[in-house]
Amino acid sequence: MEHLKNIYYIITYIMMVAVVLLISVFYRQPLASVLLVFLVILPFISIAAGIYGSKRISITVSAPTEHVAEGDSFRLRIRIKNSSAIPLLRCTLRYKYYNRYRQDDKQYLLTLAGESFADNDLFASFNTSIPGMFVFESSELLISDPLHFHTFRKKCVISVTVPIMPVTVPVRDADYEQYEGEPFDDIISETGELTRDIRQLREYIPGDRLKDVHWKASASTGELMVKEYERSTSLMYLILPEITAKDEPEVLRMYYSLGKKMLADNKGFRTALYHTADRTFSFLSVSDAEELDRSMYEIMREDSSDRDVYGEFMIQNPGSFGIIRVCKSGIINS
Amino acid sequence: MQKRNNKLVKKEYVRSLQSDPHPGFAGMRELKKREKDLEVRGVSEGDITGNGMPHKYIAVLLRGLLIFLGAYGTVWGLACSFDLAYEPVKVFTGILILSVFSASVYYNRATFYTGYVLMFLSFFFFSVVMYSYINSGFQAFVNELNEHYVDYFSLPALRVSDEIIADRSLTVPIACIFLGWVYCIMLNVTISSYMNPVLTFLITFLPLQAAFYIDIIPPYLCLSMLIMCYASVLVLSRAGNYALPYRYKKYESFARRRSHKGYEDSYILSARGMLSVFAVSVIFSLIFFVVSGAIFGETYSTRYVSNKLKNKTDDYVEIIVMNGITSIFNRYTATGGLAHGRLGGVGSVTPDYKTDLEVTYVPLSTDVIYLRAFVGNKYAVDRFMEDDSAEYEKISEPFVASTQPMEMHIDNIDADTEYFYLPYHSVNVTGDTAGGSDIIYYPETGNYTDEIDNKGMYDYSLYAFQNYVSIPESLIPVLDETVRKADMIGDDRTAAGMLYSCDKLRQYFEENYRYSLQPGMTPLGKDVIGYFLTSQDRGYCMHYASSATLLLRYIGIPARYCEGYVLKPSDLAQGEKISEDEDGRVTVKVELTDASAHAWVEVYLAGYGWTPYEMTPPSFGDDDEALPANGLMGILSGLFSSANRDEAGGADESGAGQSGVATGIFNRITDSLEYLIRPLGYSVVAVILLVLMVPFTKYLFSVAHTFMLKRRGHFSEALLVSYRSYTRKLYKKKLIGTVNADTTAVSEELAGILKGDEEKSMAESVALTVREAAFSGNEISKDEYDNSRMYMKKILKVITS
Repeated sequence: MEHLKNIYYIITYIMMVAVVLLISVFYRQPLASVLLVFLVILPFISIAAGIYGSKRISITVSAPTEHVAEGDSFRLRIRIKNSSAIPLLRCTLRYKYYNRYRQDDKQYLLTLAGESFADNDLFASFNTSIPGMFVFESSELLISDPLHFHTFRKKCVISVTVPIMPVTVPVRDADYEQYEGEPFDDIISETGELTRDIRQLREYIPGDRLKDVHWKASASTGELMVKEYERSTSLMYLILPEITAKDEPEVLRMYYSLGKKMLADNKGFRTALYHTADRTFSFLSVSDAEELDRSMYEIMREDSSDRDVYGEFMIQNPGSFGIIRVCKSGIINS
Repeated sequence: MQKRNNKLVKKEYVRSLQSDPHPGFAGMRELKKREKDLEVRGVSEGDITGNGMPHKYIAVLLRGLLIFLGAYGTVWGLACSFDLAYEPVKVFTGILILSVFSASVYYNRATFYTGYVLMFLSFFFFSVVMYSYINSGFQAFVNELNEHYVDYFSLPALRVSDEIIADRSLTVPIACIFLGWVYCIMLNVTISSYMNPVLTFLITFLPLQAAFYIDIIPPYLCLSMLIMCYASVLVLSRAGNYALPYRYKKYESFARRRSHKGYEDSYILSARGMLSVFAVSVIFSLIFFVVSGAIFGETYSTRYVSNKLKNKTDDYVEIIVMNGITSIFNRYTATGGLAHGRLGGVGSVTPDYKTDLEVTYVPLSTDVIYLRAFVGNKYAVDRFMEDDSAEYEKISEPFVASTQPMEMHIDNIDADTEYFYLPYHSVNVTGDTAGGSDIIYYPETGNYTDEIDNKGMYDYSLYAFQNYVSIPESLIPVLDETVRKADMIGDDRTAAGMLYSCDKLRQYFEENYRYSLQPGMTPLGKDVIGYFLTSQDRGYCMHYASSATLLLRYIGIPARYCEGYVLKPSDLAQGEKISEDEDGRVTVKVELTDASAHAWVEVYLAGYGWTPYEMTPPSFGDDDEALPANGLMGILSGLFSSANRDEAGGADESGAGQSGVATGIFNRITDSLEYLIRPLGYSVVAVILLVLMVPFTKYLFSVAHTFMLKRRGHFSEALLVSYRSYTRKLYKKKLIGTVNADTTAVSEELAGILKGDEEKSMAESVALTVREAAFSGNEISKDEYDNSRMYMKKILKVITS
């Protein structure tokens, strides 16, 4: 399309050159010839400017920092930076956006003005209706020279993801059973769920949670001290979200609501995360809202599956009981 | 559960739109598409926003500057090229103000609507008030242009235009400002509206060809200004970030185009970018200025190289210089100058002086010989129809032969090949119209004192008196008045009586009209003869012959309108002697150019037959040797004909041509208004009608749109159109806060206003149906549509009452 536009511009330019050529042939005057020479040189200058400018143009896209829930609108900040002196370079960003659960190939174009020596911010707003991972992707930037004789393609790989959190839905108030089965490898090393009993205070190690910092002890010792909790191996709830195609929003809403409810009841839990690509499971420990959100991100990063996730789990962990399944049928403790 | 949640999400979404600081950013159709995206894809793209339109006044001013560069560059170039002292400061300031004013019309909607009206009214007022000055300035330009071209082509004759006001220090600057204003209006379209480099280039650069053609280079600085303008417009047109601010809301930064593939958003205005483009174009034009000026300097004219292409066009340009620009349209060419009875549509006559006929004959006297070709009988508005009645034949017309028959040979060189060119009383013709023809004729003696009669002539007389006295009824008042003024009614219907009438009419013409090859065109819708007799007071042979034909017919004398060539005694002097017989009679060959083409009236003299009569007053050589160079004004003279007449009269009487101005500007304005009032009136009425038509057209469009939607079964869409009109009405009554309020807001507002439960439920029902129509993706039923429409009408009725 851009090249078609260029053809139109090239034809009109050629017409102008032809008029000046005619004038110059007709009058045989040096002045017209000077103009003609200028017009002949101009396209080359323009293309050179386009090459120079295209190397000095960059585009960055920033995701919102705030929490985005389904039904909310949010804005991505797109910044175009032209560090060259070439004015008004026409830049066209080819991009697509989608919810991972509703992926398609729709292409969008955003034409921007690359003003010389300027950073320009603009905001693209998006509305959401279902939870999931929102993805904004661009692959290339088309930059035309000032006279539009040629459009340069510049690789511009940008991928921005925004997790769209589900809204909470009412969850059945039930006394869920705890998991019984073979202990998982990673759980053995971690020695079970965190409890509220403090085992010891120790020095801060990078990676520790800020909420575990014991501020009073830190103030008295002069060093940052963190609380280390006792872990219980006996108490464990295991939630298995079964993200099947077309039912993702409902499952996510139920999982999120159940997670919140359990945390509100002071019940930590583990989440069995099914990796669609290699059909394996990994386990996430959730003991507070932050970890719940993180588990949501992990879940939403995975594709939905048409397989029987529970069946897969049972094959890989035979003889397990007390799994809290979250699926399209609802919440099932089995 | 999912449906309920979806509804919840939609409600939130609608609320979020409502809380958008820029409601109305997206229309209902757009919202519906977004809603569909949300439904299908779970996410939809909203508006893309930037900083709005920062510094839009810079964008507007920059446009003004570009217009100024184009307009002033052209005016300056033309004035300087032809040595017109135009007072640069005044013209510069005037055009700068006008340029900026023209561009600022696009600042916002208010300035757009008021600015354009103001601009055209002031332009019209300026044109009328300053008409004499502008006209004189234009004539001064034409004179200078002519002088330069005459020098260039080394032509002998100097054609001078009438400068009514001789003081060029007044007229030239005013004419320059007027021209600049015209350019501002035109460039405001090509630059502000379309940013079109080709049109801008053509409009501004082509007029300068008048100078380039004769090796005059306009000032380099002026050319640099134009180059600056072209370069900026060229780059901006490519970049595309030059939107007209008034078309967008101030917070909008992007224009969206939706295709089946997705959206395409474009950044609409970058004032900073426009400025930087302008800065680059300044540098570019400076380079041009330095390169072209420094390298070639003053030596440009010596470097001109003659070439065939230009030399070929020189012939045509020479003719234009000699005969005015209208000679392109009115020049006698291969047609030999005959108009076939057409009277209107020619503002001036400009012969090319090339040979049309070669006549070989024996001149017996120095009398004028009329070579008749076209004979017109019936008259209809602007032409005489050719007399093709069965009883009419040019050669067999009865006449009284009082001399011996003579021979004449005519070679058609470049005349109209449709006709033979026959002297009166021709009795035999052989040959063909396109080549040579041999004619036997009886030369006229001009002696009409003795009445001779015979049976054949008597019969033809009856025929002539029955068939050649018709006149159009619409002209009777004019003819009657002229006949009365000319006092041309003779005592009897004898040849002498008829000749008396002809003589009186000719005398009247001589005293009250003057000969001119540039009489100007007849205004549209006016009769050529009527206009000539009442208003024009000057004309060439066609005017006199045609008017005389009807005037003579009016008093009962059979008359016809004739066209052909006239062989004058002066032509004999230029003739070539071919032979001489024993009796000493010399045979000569005379060349007749298209300047000898002529129109005359022929009257049927009782007892003598059809006799040519010369009604055209002598030209005294004025028009033939020093033709007024009113080329462009000749075209416009139909519109301003009254003013032209006054000016011409004033010039004749006073000699200095200043009497028109001395009588006051007011008279001149009223004279101009007399002819402008009708087109102006029509224009004003048309504008008012258009303005009034806008809401009506919108209403009609809405009705037609709804009708088509209903016909195709798109009741959801039809309801949304109706709902849009409904909310507009509510908004106008200040019942809702914004015209783009969503259904929730409208029903909430109405709940507080409506008192009856029935009305409230109606409002709620309307809201529900509209929501379903907009967001469900399903078509609503016809009943739902009809009910909602009915409810909306009822609610509006209740609120109004």
